[in-house]
Amino acid sequence: MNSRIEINIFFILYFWVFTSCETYELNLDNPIDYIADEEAGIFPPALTLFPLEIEANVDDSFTISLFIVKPDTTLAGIHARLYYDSSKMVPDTISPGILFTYEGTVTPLFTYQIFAGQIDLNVFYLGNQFSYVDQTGHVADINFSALNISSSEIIIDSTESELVTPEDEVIELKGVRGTTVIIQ
Amino acid sequence: MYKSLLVIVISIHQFSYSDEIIGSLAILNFQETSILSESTTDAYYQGLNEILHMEKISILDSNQIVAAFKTLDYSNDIHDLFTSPSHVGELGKYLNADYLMMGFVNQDSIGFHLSSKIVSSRSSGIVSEVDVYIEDVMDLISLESKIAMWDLLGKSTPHQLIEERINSLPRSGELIKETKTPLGALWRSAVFPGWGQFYSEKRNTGIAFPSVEGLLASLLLYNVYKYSKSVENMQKYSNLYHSSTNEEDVINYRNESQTYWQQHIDMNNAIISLAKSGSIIWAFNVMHAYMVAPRPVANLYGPDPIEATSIVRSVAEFLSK
Repeated sequence: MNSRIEINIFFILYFWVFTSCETYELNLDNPIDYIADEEAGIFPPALTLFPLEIEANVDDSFTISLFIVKPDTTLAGIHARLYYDSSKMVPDTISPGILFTYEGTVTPLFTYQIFAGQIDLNVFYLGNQFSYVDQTGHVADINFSALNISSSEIIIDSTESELVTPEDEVIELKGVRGTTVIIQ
Repeated sequence: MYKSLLVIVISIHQFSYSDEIIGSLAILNFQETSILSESTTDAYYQGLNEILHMEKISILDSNQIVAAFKTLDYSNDIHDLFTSPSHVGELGKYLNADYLMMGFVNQDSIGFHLSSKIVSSRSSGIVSEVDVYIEDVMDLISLESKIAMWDLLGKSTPHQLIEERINSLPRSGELIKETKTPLGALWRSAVFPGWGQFYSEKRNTGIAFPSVEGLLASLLLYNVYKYSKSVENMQKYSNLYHSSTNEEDVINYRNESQTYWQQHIDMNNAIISLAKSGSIIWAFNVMHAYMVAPRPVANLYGPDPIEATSIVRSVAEFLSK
């Protein structure tokens, strides 16, 4: 009788050990990936910041990249408005990405204004230049300096940001994704 | 899962019935009929015939024993068997009998005595041994006569005489102790599948269980290896996916990550299934080892023959005639 109980206990433990094999969750969330964006409720065309979360040390600099995701139409320019907490970080330099420069072969009009936690960024083709883009790509890099220990977000204003076609038509922006900045 | 547990519980429950196995017994009869008088021979054969009515019992004469040993290449004197149980075990297996009984008459300083043994074919161990001195036999006959008288008088036999008879008779099969035990087989098979079967000299299953377990263990290890590689690749491509800013690469890394993620799930399921299968086979191996192991036999001699005559009945029949 005792051996019977021992055998049963042994089996229960044996099954318990083997049925608790570890499986991993696959969390794929890259703001450039339109599938991941859609899963997050952000539909194209969208403006996103990469990466979704960044950590930096006080006084260090870090870079946030602006991307356009799946415009599915021809674009001649973009206006993006970003908000950040100016008490926690300050933008240093802003440079164009490879989408509108066509990997350095074209020089579009690239302007920006920084004012009290707001960045207005414009990228446009002029005149007879290579006149449009129609794919997901890198619009600009924004370099910040971290000021003090904090956690804040950089967000894109979806109402003030816009996409413009070569025919000067405004395309509705359906989604935006910001980034979380953790300064240690 | 529940089905597997149910099968195991039911199978374990069957252990309680395994004690009811009845063994077969072969009696090695070395008695030379030539040295017996005619009347003694008749009585002797009448006794043997009664035994022959018992189920599971066979009697071999000297010629049959010699023939069996010729086949087994046993070159020693037949009488050496008495001091060499391992050879008796071999003979028992050859005769397909679970137990062998044999006896000899010897003489020592006390007097003549009959030594008889029952040896287990499987374990070659002595499971029962009786040493009866002729004087004791005479005492037993005297005791039986006393009991018969009480019986003939229609009175109940005094308890003291019954107790004396019990103490004079050989022990019953229920008290037989095997040198190899079911628990001995059980723990051996629990430690290493098949060991308990080898211990009980069940070589075929002793090979089959570790072979199947070995195969399952190999498959399990292979799947564990594939699982580890899948996890490694999944993490690698997931990291590349999150760090990439190229749309095409992002899509490729996403697909690779998802492929390896699915693979690691499949491998994990395969590991669980193999582990369950291995556990079930291990459980059966343990139960099988327990069930086939040598054990004390409850009814070694089979049921008593209906026509068997006791001394009392014989005397009663004689008087009625």
